[in-house]
Amino acid sequence: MSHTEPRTTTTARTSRTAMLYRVLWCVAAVLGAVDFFYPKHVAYKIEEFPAFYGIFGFVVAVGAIFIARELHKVLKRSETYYDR
Amino acid sequence: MIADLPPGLILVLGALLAPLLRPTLRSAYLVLLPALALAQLLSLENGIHGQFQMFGHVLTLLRIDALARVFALIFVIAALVCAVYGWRERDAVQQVSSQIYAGAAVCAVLAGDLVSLFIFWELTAIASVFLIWAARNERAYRAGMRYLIIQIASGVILLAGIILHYRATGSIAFGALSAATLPGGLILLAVGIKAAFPLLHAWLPDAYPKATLFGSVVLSAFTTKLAVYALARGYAGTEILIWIGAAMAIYGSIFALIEDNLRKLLAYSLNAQLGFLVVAVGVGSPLALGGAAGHAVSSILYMLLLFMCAGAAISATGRETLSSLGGLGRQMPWTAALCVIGAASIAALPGTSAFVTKSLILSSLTKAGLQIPWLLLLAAAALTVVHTAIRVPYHVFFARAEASARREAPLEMRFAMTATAALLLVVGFLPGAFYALLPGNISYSPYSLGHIVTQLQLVIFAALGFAMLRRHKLDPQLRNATNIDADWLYRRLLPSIMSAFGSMISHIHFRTLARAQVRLNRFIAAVYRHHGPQGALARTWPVGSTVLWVAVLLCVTLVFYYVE
Repeated sequence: MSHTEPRTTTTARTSRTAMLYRVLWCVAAVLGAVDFFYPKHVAYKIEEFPAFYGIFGFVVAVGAIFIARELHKVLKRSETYYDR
Repeated sequence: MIADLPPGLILVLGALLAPLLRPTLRSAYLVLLPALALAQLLSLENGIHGQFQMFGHVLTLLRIDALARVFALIFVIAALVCAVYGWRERDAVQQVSSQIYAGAAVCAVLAGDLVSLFIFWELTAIASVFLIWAARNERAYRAGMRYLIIQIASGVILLAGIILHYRATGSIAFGALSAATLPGGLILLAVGIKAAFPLLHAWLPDAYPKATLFGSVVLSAFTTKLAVYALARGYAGTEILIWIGAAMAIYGSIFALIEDNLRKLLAYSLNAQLGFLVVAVGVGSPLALGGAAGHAVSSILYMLLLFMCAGAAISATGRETLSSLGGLGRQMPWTAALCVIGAASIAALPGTSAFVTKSLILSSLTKAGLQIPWLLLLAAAALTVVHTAIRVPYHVFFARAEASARREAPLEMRFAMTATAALLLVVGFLPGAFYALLPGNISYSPYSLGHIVTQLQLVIFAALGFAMLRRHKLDPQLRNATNIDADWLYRRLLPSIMSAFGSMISHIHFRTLARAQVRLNRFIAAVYRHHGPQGALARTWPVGSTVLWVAVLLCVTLVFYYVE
């Protein structure tokens, strides 16, 4: 049975997650830096902003998660809400 | 005549024979049917085939051009994938209804006139509801009923639109329509219900997660994309669709962010992806329409793949929510890897099909100078990375183990998923060959350095945003909750208004009755007072009282006589 198999310990998992998180930061930094080293062909002025796509993606993701979190507080019901 | 046989009818008619076969033979037969339909579709030349007269009208069962061909092709391929995925399915109801459903969708995209379109439109609705009911529980039964009512309503509105359109133009041909006329508006409303426009969409996240696991895979492919085809055929370049589509993409994304139920999350994600297609139809340039057709192919494939992975994970654990799943990658490495490919595709990472198709849509927006819709779609693309591309594989396969799978997915399921993933990658790596299939003679090169870098930035930074919030425990806590959506209007508000109205009516009824009773009692009491045993008029004998009344009458007569 699978639950008798040895599981990754919590500390090992935490350190792996921490490493992954750091790698993600590094990749993001590299991608942001790349933006300065190639000629851009832009349709809109806003795209000329350094790492526009990255910053836009980050801000949208964080902003939307906060909005969604507040919305969830308003919209959440118990799982059996419609069964009653 | 057999040369002109519509490919969809091979599925519809062929499926009716399936229940006669033994279960083992039946699975092979159900894979053979879409394969035959595919061969038949590929053998048909572009043009008009299979016309016949009925009640003085010419019905066209086969009108094949680039747009119809792309949709028919991906529908037949989706039917094939579903048949392989459902190889072990032994429920004849699901086997037959899934093939009829797919066949009807193929027939509908190839139909050249509105009457044939209507017939197959309704057939998709009726065939598909059995995939929901096949779950055979109370929730699924009720969700199926709601689904059927809404789908049939869409069909009825479509029919009304068609009849008015025929009266106005004298033609039943299915071509460009105008949303500004009454018939065109009605047909747009019917299509909008099926395409899950915002606030008309609630049937989708309501019904799809309650179908069987096999059923929700099949459902994800056809209904909504058929509606997108109808939009592209009838309403290309209708400006309002740009805004409706952008709203869909954002609305679906926000709800997907706060959904814990795996299949419901995917349903919202599907709804958001449809927004991209609707925007593209609204732009209506050749590039945009090519992008709509191409991205419809991509989104059918990656939604199929994600629903198949979800089905495999749920059937292996018996758990439905992200918060109760996790750590399945160890026991299901194949499914986990394929899910990551599906996730990469929906995030439109370079090398996947969505990268080469979504960029057509975004470019068509910049070419048309539509900056706000472009920004909205870019935002929706960033949110897709978070709500589906990261959350689904992370919470199901990689996060802390909450569940344990009994086994890896069966071989046939893995085969279907691998084939779908392979298609996604093939399209991603060979965009030129794929663009040649699309309408609008697209010449576009997605793999420019700038495009690759900007797309990677969008994906990685959005992922970073999610990772950062999760690290600081700021992501929404979703365990044991359900979110109310527009379906609340007809599942809670309308019933409560109805019951309030009902209780008001009964209140008025009882009060009126009670008042009438009081009056009646008073009247009886008055009569009793005067005529009862102690009453003034009962003191004399009846003869005396009669004499009194005669005297009164005489007086009255005398007075009248005198007045005259």
